[in-house]
Amino acid sequence: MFAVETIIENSLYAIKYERNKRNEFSKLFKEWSDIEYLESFFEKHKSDLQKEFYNFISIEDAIEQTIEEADELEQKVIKIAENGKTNNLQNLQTLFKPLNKKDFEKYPIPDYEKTKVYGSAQKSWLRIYAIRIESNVFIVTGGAIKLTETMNEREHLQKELNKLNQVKQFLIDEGIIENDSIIDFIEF
Amino acid sequence: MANINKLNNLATNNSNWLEEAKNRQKNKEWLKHSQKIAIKVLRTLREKSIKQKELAAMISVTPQQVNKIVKGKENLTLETISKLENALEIKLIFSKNESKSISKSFKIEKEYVYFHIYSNRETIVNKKTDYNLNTEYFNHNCVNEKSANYGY
Repeated sequence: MFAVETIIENSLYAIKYERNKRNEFSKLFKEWSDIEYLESFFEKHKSDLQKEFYNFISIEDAIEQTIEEADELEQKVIKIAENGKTNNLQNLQTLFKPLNKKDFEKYPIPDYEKTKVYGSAQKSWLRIYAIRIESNVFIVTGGAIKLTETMNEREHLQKELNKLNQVKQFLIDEGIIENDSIIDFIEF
Repeated sequence: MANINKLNNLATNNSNWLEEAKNRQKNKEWLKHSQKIAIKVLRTLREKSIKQKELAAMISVTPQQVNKIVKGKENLTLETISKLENALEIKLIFSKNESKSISKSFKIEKEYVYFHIYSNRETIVNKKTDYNLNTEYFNHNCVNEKSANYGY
């Protein structure tokens, strides 16, 4: 059902689901640079964009913003991959943050996220979900473009949460972590 | 404490992410153009209810090539771009001083201005105010054009 692929040795791994050609990490960046995929995605969710919250951003601009954000994120990970774990200040820990459980419980966006598309303090709508099994060791289980409120977010996030839980069980079964191991569900 | 050795034994090195990511970075400049063209083409296809397959027939390429174009990953030739422009009746390439925000009506006025440059210098100088053109823009574009064409 699952395979694990190394992205950065001893630091970043990704789950590859049997049904997919690529691992989740690679798949996300492929989708986030695929105009056909993005146009179709934003067309489907265009009502979520046509709000003051997103500054009534057009589909065209939403696509370009996604590409830019994915590119910035990819550059950061490449840099970390090339520097390895030698530089403590520059590791994956600086990119990922603990998953906000509220995201899985309610539709409304937490206040702290409300700056995400405004100004320099904007927060990306790209999400990468991972399990941290040890300091600076992450296993990516999935990801999404997270638009909120009217999007059927509960179902969408529930799916991602299920994936996180399934992978956690898989890691226990494989003896990589123990039942009572302290792990974190993480998102970028 | 997680067993990282077990994880490393289980994990394969089949991921091609790093290679793909480096390629994306290496080709970033032209990919950006390709992506912008893909956005415009896709939005036009949607607006005009044209299928990718139909576009392929219109510009005499395979549907697979059209699919690469709309994914924004194709290093397009000028020939293909021109075919796309003609088939979809859109503008994909703008010269240095044009931008995608220039409206069609403004462009028509500008072409009209150019027409006068080529035919009568005095006329165009008078038109400068009429069209509310920026002086620097006017001098740079019009006079240089004129110099090149008329040996001023």
